[in-house]
Amino acid sequence: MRRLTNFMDKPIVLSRKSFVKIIAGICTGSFLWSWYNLSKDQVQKENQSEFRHSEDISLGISYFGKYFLYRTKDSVVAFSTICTHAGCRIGKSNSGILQCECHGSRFDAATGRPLKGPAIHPLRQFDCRFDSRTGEWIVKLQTPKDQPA
Amino acid sequence: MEFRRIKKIIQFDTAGWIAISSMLLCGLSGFLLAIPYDNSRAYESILEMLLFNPAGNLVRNFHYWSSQLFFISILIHLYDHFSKSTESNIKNYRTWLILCISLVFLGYEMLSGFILKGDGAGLQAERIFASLLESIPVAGKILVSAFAGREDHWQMVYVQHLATGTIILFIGTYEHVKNIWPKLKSIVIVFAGLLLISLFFRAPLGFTGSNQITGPWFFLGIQELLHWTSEPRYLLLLFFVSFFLLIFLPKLGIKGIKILKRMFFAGGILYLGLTLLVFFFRGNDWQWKNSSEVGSISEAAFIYDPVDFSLPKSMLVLSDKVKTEGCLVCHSAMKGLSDSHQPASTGCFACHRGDPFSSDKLKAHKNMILVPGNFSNVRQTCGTQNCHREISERILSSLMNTAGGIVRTDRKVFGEAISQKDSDQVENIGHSAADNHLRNLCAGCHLGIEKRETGNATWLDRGGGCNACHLQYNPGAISSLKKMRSKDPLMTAEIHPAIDIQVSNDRCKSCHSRSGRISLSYEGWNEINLKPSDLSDSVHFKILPDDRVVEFVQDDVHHQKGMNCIDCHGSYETMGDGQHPLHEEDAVKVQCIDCHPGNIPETFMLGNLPDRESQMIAGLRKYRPDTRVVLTADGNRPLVNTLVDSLNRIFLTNKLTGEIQESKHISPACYKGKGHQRLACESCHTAWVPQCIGCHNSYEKSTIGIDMLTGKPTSGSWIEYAGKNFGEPPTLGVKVDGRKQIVPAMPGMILTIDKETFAKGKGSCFLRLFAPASGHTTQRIGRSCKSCHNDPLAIGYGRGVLKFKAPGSIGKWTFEPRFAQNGNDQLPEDAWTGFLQEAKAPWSTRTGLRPFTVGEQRRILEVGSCLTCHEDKSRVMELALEDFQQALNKRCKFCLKQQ
Repeated sequence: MRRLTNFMDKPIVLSRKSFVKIIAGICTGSFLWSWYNLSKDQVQKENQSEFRHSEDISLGISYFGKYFLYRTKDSVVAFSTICTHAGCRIGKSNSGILQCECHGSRFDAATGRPLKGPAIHPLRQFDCRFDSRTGEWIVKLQTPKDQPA
Repeated sequence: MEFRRIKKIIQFDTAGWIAISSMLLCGLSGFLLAIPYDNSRAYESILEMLLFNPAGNLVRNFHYWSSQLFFISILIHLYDHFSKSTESNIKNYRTWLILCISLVFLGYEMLSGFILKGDGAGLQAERIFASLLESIPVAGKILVSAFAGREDHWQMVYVQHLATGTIILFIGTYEHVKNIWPKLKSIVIVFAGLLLISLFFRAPLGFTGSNQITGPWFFLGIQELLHWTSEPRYLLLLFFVSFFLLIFLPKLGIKGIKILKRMFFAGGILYLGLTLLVFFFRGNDWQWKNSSEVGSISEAAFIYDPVDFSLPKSMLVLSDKVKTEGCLVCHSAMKGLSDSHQPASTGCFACHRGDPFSSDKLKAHKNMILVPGNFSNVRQTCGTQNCHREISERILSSLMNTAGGIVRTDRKVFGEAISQKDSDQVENIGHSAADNHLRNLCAGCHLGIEKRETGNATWLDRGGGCNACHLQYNPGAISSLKKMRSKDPLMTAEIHPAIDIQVSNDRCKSCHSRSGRISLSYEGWNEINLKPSDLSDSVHFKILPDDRVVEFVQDDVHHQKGMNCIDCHGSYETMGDGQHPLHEEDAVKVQCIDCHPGNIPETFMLGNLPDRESQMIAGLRKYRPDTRVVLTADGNRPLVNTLVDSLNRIFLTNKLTGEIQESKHISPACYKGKGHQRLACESCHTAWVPQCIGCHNSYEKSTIGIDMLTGKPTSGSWIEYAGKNFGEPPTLGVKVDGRKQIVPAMPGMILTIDKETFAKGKGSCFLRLFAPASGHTTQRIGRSCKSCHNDPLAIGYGRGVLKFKAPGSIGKWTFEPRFAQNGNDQLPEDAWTGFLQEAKAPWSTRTGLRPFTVGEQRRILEVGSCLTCHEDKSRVMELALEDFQQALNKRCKFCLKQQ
């Protein structure tokens, strides 16, 4: 049986400590790999969620937890209800202005643009399209393809 | 000697060993707490512990307080080491590294414990934490998944809190001390102290849906920093820099260590300052706290709430269908509330606050709000995030709250400066002559006046915020109230007054039976100068609850049809639209032509209502979303109780009775010809308006009055002496608002104000000011031609005899006034302008309203001269209405010419 040697042809001696280190490294790597894949799967699953709404959505804001719809006479847009400042969920509103309870930011519900700081980035817009086949508005929790992410 | 003994008892061990003792106890109580705690329904399971499970409650308190002691002891321990430079005793760098990591996990354990409460603040804390983690490059998403879990689902947070964090803290401790067993004495003292605190002080729990999000006390400084920065990742950077500086601290030289420790100390002091700032001064939506905001129990660091092991088992029955609130243990049988405010779904706390986490009567009722509708409470009650926040914000700027129109008019009449902004709010008025006049005579009529007691509002009660209109006591509720006041121990059938949108006309009367008196006029009553004792006829006269006597004249046609005030005046008029209207006519958007158009009405689909409040109201009234409703011409407001059918007929639903009746389009006569194109509908269809002439206001230094704003007596008061009252057709005038329109007017203030008697005033003044008349005495048949063209009161001369005399071929108008001339302006007491004279300013309480000029008077009288011979509906007058010049050209030899 041939012994393991290094490039200088000296025998490699695998101590118990080194062996444990290698095993621990493999275990840690496997653990992190599994975790990464599980997380990725979870994130993708969440982002691929699709929600359907009948055609007769009310004018103005309709609030649905993770997102809200804003309907004008001509269109319906969907925005995330997560504040772009620190991730809080912005509060319900009956007017066209949404307020974050945590740090006081305000957003224009029609455009998602911040009206008052500390938030400076607009609310994340979600893909919202009308399905003429079923007569429903479909909201996907992902950025529309024609919008920057 | 004694002091040393006490000090010795207090300092029974070092902060480090106290920390280890509390950590062991915290861990142990955490395992016990895991039995009743359910992370899939975290908030509910904690509420159940608080209400029904004293042992669980005690364990939770113990877990919380031991964690606090652990955290604080660690901070003291760190300070001790750093101040004495004994951190250098840690020779093994690996141990230092593990301790630094343990510190991070200590923060995580504290934060995750806060998140696991599952209340509103916990939810938001989890989101902030996740957002911060996510902003870490590369590993962000994995870290979120590992330590923050999915939103609203705390499986991962629970696992990490219970297992990972705990294990790492124990490893860190063992690595540091090589022993985790403190002295028995220490652990006994710490246990006893924590048990004592836990028995009496509750671990905090916030509310779901609260708009007061702060965070755990140790997180407040971070929250404040987050409020000031638009890029939270800078905070993360600050954290990592601090962390790495701490890690590399032992590697620095003596001088470096000293500088770094000073930096940490300064940072700690700054952070403490920020924490205190937030704790005491930040309120809802991270705004500075309003001084009138009542402290919420969620804010308190120590909530005295002894664990009660003696709860009778029979009380602890709460249906699964009702909201988990301690209040409902006793009040679940409460009846009388409308569907939208059912205690089973809304609970009691949402309106009345108090302590919903206690089923003990005294504790539950502590800090309770008896009258939730008062505007000083409304941000915590009716106006919270999940209830009626928008309305509660816009109503504050409505005229019914600010009384701005009255304030501006009064100041204008007194010759004082007026502004167009918030300073003209009745609650902000000062003590000038005009403002004291308001305080003594007018300031009671606004919604901001607080209702102090329970019970039905009477005519004499004004104000009360939301309750002024929406709280209705039926006989059952009154009976329950009496029992409650008598402290009847057998009171079981409790009936709450209804809170609904069925606002009856009586609600409007306490304020609107004064000044313009539209509430009285609408029902046909005119206030007269008689005493109750003078009355013999009880059919045509009535005594109001405040002893004023009214005489029946003629009620409004809409009243005859059973319509209510709210059938025309919707929520955006009564509760404001968020704007700052100057006067009532700026706030009222509904017009006659909206329901009685001359052509096809503008309509709107009810399902497309733009705001949730209107949708909710339409839903409560059970209106169908596919209903086409009228859109007001002014302001484009949908009138939700209308219905337009396919033939464009308009139907109106009575909001109180549900009765539907057709609303007819206006008669073609209304828009026929050029003659009356400038006439407002009210000019013809207002039957009468209350008119008071010859008032006198003076300040009496020796009379005890009342400041209606504060409710306190005043030494000296403005007194109003009323003149004569009439219920007669209105005077007409010209409203110049871009275009000229003929509108009804009424004496607003024909009065003498004796400012000389007021300490700060200068002399007396006389004013002859007319106001726009919103009569609310509409009749289906309009005024006759003669009632305007041949009537001196209508033209503005006042009462008297107006004659067209014809000594020859040229006719001449003469006027003999009924009332004597007023010495101040040489006009009859009830006149607005002199007979064929130009009026002298000021003539109105409003800018843009004026009496007729001489030219206009002549044109009116010229038609009047025709009417002396020709009947109203004669062919000649029909022609005059269509084209007056053509009618004049057709005059025959018998027709007289006007001089």
